[in-house]
Amino acid sequence: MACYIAWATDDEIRKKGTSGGFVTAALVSALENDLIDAALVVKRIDVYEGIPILTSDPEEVKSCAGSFHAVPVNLTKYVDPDLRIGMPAKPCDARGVIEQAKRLQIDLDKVFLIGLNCSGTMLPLAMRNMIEVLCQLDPDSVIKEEIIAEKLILKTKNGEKAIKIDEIEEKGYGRRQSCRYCNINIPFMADLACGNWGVPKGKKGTFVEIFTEKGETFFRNAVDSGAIAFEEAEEKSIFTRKRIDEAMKKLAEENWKKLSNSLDGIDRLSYYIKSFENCIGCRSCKIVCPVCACGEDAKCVSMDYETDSYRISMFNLVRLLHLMDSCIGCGQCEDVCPVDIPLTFIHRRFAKRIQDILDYVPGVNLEKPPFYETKLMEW
Amino acid sequence: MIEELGLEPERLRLEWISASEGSIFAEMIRDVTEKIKVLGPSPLKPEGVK
Repeated sequence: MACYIAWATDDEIRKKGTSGGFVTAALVSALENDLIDAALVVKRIDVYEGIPILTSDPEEVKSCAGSFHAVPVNLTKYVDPDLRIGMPAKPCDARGVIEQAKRLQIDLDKVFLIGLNCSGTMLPLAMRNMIEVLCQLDPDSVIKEEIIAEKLILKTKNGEKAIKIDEIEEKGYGRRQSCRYCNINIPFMADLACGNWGVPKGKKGTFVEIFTEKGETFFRNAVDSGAIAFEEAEEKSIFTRKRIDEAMKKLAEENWKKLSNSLDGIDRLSYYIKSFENCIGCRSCKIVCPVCACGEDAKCVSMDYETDSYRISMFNLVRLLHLMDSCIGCGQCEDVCPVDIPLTFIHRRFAKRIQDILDYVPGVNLEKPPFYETKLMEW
Repeated sequence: MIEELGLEPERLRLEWISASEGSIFAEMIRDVTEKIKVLGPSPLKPEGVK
């Protein structure tokens, strides 16, 4: 597989980008050369707030350059199936898009998945609190944030402050829970993966790995139009990147074990009944779910009657069952839940069981879910 | 799912029975009914409802 260190030839983009401005420069170039109709990017309001936008304006794309950790939104449902789209995608964005493609909602040929390495996102409010309490900084004075080598780096007008992610999380702040146990950091299911892991020290560049022909097209277009320059990645870079990925994965698995073991020896049924008892049936978890493509007549909705008053509603029971083979653990359901049910953890508990047994990972390729295939019979 | 939820696995049973196997079907239903009676009502049933 082809690995490069690439950077934007435009100095301004290169400076603004987190690592080398490759993603921004290549997106702009794809727009200008009519490779895509629109880019799906997150428009920054400040360090803690951004909104997903579909735009054809290269200037707007440029304004979105740079990393952004406090906007944990999943972009899947913002994809317009009628347009050719280029989207920077965290692993969970890319997996959501692939799951929607399996359910015939998105044509993958029309979407360029520009993968972004991801070590996790933070909830805006949690991040503000952390910056105030742990870093003794005014949250509003932070102008830029980056995560490099397991450290969160906050830039203010007066300089930089770095803090280790481990330390943040030991003190109860930090990444969303779902990110802490997510074990996919490099979006190998996307068309290409970009990030700063493995970039030689002191160099302003983006490590790019190309996975598909579409990825190659996207990369070549940027090279041919002069938007980016690149060199082959050296063995050492590839090795460093792999090592970081493996360390993150190991940490994620430990985190999952710790969290999952918290249910050991307790009466799970009572735990689940208690967890769901505050559910107000608002359906937000279903609306944001990037793998759900059922629409308004979904079983979870149509089989749910408030008058049933089961101790766990049919809505939740059907969703638990329905997501067992497809949950990608993105954390959206938990983020939007107005009564703070630990939904992602619960869905992961149910889904991991079956996904492990059937050796099926949703959202990484176009393989149909196991309940559609003979695999289940063999098992 | 039943297992993760903490319900008794005996509450769910799947059998393939042909339309010509009436006696097997009747036997199975008798068996299931008996087992469910021993288990009692589902813990997910709301209180005070029969």
